Amino acid sequence: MVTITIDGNKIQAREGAWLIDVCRENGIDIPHFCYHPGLGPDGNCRMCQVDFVSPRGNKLGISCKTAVAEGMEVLTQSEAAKHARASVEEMLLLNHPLDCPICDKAGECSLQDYYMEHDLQSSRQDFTRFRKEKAKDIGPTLVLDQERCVLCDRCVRFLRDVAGDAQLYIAGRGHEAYITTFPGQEVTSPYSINTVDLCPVGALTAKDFRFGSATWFLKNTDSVCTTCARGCSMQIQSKKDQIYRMRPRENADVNGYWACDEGRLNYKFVNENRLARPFLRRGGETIECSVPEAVAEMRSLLGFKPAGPVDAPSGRKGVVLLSATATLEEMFLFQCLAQEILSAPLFVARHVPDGVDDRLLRRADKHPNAKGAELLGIRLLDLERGATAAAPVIEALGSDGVLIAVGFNTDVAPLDPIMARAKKIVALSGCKNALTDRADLVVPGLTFAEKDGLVVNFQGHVQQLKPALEPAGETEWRVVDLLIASLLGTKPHEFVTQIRKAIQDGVPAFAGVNLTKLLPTGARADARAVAK
Amino acid sequence: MATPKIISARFDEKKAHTLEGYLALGGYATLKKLFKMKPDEVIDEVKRSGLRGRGGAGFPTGMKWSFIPKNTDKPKYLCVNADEGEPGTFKDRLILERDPHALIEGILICCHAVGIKTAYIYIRGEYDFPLARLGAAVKEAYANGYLGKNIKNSGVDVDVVIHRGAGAYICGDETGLIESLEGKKGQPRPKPPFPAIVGVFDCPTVVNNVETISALPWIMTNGADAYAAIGTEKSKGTMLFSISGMVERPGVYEGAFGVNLWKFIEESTGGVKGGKKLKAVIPGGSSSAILTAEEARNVNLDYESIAATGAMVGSGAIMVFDEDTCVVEALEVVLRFYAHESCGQCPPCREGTYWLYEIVNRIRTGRGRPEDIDLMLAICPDMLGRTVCVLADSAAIPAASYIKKFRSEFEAYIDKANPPERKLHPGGINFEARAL
Repeated sequence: MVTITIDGNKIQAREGAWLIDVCRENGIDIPHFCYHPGLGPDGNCRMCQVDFVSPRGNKLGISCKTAVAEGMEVLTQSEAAKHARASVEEMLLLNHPLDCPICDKAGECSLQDYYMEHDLQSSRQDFTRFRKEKAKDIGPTLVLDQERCVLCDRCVRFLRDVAGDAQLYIAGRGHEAYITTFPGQEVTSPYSINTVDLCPVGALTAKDFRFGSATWFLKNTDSVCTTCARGCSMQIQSKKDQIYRMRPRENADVNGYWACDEGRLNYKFVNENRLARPFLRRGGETIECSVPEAVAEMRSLLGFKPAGPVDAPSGRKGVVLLSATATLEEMFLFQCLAQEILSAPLFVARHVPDGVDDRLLRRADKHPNAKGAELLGIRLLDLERGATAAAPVIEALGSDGVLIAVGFNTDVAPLDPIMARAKKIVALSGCKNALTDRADLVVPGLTFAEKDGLVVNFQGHVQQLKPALEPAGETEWRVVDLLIASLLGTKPHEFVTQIRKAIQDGVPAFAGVNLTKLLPTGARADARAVAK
Repeated sequence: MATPKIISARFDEKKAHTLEGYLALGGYATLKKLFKMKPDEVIDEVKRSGLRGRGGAGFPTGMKWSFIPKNTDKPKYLCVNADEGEPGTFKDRLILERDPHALIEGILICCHAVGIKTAYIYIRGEYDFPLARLGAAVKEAYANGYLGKNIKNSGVDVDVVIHRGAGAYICGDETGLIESLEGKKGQPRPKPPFPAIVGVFDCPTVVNNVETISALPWIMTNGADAYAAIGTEKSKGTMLFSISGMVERPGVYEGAFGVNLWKFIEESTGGVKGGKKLKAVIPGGSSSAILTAEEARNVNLDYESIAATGAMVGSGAIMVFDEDTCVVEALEVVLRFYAHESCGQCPPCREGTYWLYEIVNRIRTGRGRPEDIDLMLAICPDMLGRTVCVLADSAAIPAASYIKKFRSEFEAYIDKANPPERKLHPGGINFEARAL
């Protein structure tokens, strides 16, 4: 550790750490373009200049590529430092097109923010501004505006150094330099949209979000990506109950600063094919009902009397099949229902991991909570299309079994052999699909964007989904909780935190984790349980 | 005292560029002594000679070598900077064309001193003939055991690789050169770390100018004291000066430090061409500040005296302006060059050089405004010392000094009532035809 002085305050810092990092850790935000905590410094933008105090007089220097050393004294807000940064800002704006009113980045643009902070002058440049290419289609996900670019090199460095696909570079030199793709090629990296987040200005925009919304109208909800077993920390940005964009949140334990394109764009189904109200099918007729009516119907499908506490199941045999996308609370409650009341077999199903395990983030397992099922001790089934993996479920169903299928929103084809053998089907699904078309009772569920629930990634990291949108129906855990309460004759739970407390108290893997008060970055489950 | 010829001694010998000719003139004689010396003794000798880098910055050579870490597992490299690009400089070209073996001998001295086995010569892409001569010399040196493994049974191995640049001025900057040599885009690296620690292929690297290295054989043969006896206290030895512009006999002249600048120019070249009046002198290449005629007559030619005027010795490119030379046009040429050669990493350089060029172009073409002069003077300090390398400074320093010292000429272009008479020299640049 070394002691340095920043703006008159003595600060302890790790020797050799970059000054800009030390400043940031101590609450001083030094303006910067080329530096990014996930990419490190490059030293080209000159925006982070600060004043180094020395006996021979103060000297300006960049804070991003300067390592702290004992006795270093720095002024971040001296007139010289502020002037140096203002002049860099002025230089960057010389040939900037100033098309902020139609720029997607407006409102979250470093160039705008630093102008408000440092410059606030009219331009002294009165020549024709330099023209470069605008709205250039550079791949399936990205659009490039070379005029807005400040040439900070972040996108180039990210694709080359982090994503491992060098697909952009700076061509030309001097004021004629511009970002572009290699001749005849496109940006096809599965992580391409990270460059849009990294771009400090509006040079790189995502086709998906382009002209979607002014950024200041968007409501931010901290949640988790449910596209694969990584569970990247995400921010859902929504307006009027519509998702406009998802962006990664910084989480050193899970995803660093990044997310893959597939995960970011995996929100379309939230607004498609949704079911509004519970309904049941009787002789080819669909009858809408309320949630309590649906609970009563479930009881009778399972062979219980319509109301009142019960002792043991009678008549039909139930089989509970959950998707590995279900939350930890849902799995836990269905486990209670299956094991303690119905004595029914319980499975968590996922598709055979058919994605890719790449070296950055993406996992082959396309479900967010398979590890959660494992830690609860639920049997995990890898369902293949039309193959024998479904055999245990089919066997358990017997000739007149009732299938309770939970959380299957999209891609239900692997369930076909099971559906074919079930006598009766109860489906808790967020979206209309082949399963809900066939089911005898359908209770609409929620998607990740409407739920409050926990998921456990493949490393055993627990994170919380938070509702970004108004829920379209009743959340799954409450439906099953109502069913359990009605069967046991007890009072249903009021809050989801009560379920979390029960998981924390009852499941050894989560004993050391405060599930009721998770940090925004989540917490790690017991390592020994995870390793098993 | 007559000016001793150290670098240019063999320039007029017709055969000096061949091994035979070089050996006949006493070349490679110092190797025997050299290989008996310990590396540290060689470094000390060079330190005592007071030799400073001749590429422009004038950094003490021995000290530069001593920054190379002694206990490192990594290989060490020498980069000889033959990317002579500073406008007005043409001295290294003569060494490469006429005395290439002196450079090779110097390389052996440096490699032995620092413990280097591979030296790269980064030669300017436009230098066809110098490359041919240098290439032939390296080939001959290999064939006769002056390069390669176990040189003259000394146990010393040195390989020389010639790398040809592609014509970018910025690759003359030492870290720009290193990036280019590594096969990347020539863009200077932020320092620290300095090349002595992290250089070519992230290994410790010495980067020295051709002339610096070529001075080493003389120093090793005649001793550091003989070299240090020439010149002034801090500017020792001699230097090649490329004198161009409006003089009777432009060319490369070797001079000892400490003489009067204008006297040296006059004695070497015969003074201003056609007996015209002297207007100004640029002492050290286009990135130097300009000296008025009076300053040039009163300053001594050494690092400290020139630096005291705000100009620099730089690469020794002296340019002489006579009374007919237009300072505004000269500045336009200089700024157009830097705007074109900026690598584009740092905004103050990328945008600033072009901005300055646009303004001076506007002034020169009669579209200037009274406030333009002060605007240029306001932009210059925002470019000084704000960037990774000194290219921005190289544009801002001359711009500020030309304007400050010859402000009335700029004002004359802006005064629409009395536009200046255009006096383009024969061979003057047609700006309109060569848009940037």
